[in-house]
Amino acid sequence: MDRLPFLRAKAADGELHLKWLKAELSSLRARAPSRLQLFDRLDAEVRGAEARLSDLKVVISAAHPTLMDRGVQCAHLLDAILNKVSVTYVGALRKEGDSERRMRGLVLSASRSSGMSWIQDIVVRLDGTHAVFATFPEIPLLVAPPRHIASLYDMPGLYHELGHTAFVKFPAIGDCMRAAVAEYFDAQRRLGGPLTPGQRATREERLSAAEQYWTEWQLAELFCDIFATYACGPAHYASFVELGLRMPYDPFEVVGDPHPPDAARERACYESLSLTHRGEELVNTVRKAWKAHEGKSGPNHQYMLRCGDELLAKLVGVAISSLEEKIPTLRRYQAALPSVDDVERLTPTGNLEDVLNQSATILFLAAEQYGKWEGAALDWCARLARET
Amino acid sequence: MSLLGYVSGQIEREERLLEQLSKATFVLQSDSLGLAERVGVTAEDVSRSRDQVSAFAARLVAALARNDVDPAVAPIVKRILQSPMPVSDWSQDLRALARAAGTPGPFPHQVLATLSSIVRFIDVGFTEELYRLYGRR
Repeated sequence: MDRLPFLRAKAADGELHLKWLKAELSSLRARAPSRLQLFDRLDAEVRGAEARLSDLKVVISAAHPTLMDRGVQCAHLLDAILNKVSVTYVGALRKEGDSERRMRGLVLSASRSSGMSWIQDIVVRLDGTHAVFATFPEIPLLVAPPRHIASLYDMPGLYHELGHTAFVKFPAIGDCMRAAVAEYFDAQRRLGGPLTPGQRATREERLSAAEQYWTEWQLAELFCDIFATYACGPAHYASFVELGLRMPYDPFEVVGDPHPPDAARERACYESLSLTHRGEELVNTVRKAWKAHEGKSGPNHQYMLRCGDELLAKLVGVAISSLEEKIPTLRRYQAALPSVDDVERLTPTGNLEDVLNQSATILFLAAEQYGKWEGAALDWCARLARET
Repeated sequence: MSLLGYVSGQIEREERLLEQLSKATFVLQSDSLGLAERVGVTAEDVSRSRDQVSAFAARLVAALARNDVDPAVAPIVKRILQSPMPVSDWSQDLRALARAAGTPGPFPHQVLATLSSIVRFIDVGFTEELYRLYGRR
């Protein structure tokens, strides 16, 4: 019963917060009346918050000690809804200016051209490093660096973020990847040759630890790399390698976050390229640089157990099969890359994936031409954004 | 920043699970305390809540038996494994919970306590994720 004053305070504040939020959403909707799906979804969330507030009031009025947990849980659920609508979406929409709208148009055009049919709308914030708020996978909030309005550098990383929305929207993909991990480690357990009971126990312990490394979180990150390379082709591969080369640490080590080691991510990206693209000069040049970076360290025993090439290839295969089964509209990027001999005459054309692949070719194979190219490419992107 | 991508994607699922089981617990507790009418709980609410609790308890028992990695219950399994009570006792209590939910009549107090503990585990996991995304530091 000591928690009752806290619950009363939450209810009083929740009431005022909801009143403000409804007025704010109404005003934002009036500014963008065509964005029906976005505002209908946010209004539905607000109705959910009203229901939790009503439940909270019931607990307060019953004032029974056994029911206090439900009151606290209603307060947490109310907080969750208010945060996602208010802090995440309303915060971003209030700051949405021409730059954010242009980036929204560009990413929406890319999502349509590459067949990401589940994406209905996108909210953009240009004030951070690449990230996505994927709670509503149909209407994600994408965070990107402000320089994207004036530079294509790093932009393929946006496809990794869109991959998170696919992973949430189609949970069967994660299920298939988890099953592939279990199958791989079961097969590993059957290997090993004649071992003493002690050796077998040690081997089992190591394999179990390696298997447990692959939580849904690591699988999600690996999937997003596969997804991004599948949809954006060599441009994403080159962009990922460039990101990895910036990092001073051993690429075979897990470095304090949910991403698999960079070496495993590079392999997953490379395996996700079409065979034709693996033969491209851009890919070979970038891979050579990556191998030189890897050569400074070399795989350790733990890496080999967790991220064996056979497992990574299996995960890529399973992820791509699942993508093709669950999202038949999604297009693999397979267009031919421009020839280096033609870059001086190259003009930007096609969809965002085409432009990013043209850009990657020039950036990595004819960097001296890149300054001249990027201005024209950005103009083309502005046109793509306007056409959405 | 992919912490945001994964966590924000999973929190919706956790929110739905917490709401469903928190509400079901409230309904069964209110019914057991004789407060159903006062808090607006109907016989239909009780029946639906029993079904939900029974299905969830059975799923958790199965996950504990197989050391399952089903992502929907994995965080709860983890908390059960970390708790001071032996897993075999948890499995026994959860089986009793599933049985009680499937049998007409009032819920025994001990069984409701097991349900409340599980919902508290879900709530703790959910609020940890919530404050990872939005916490005041």
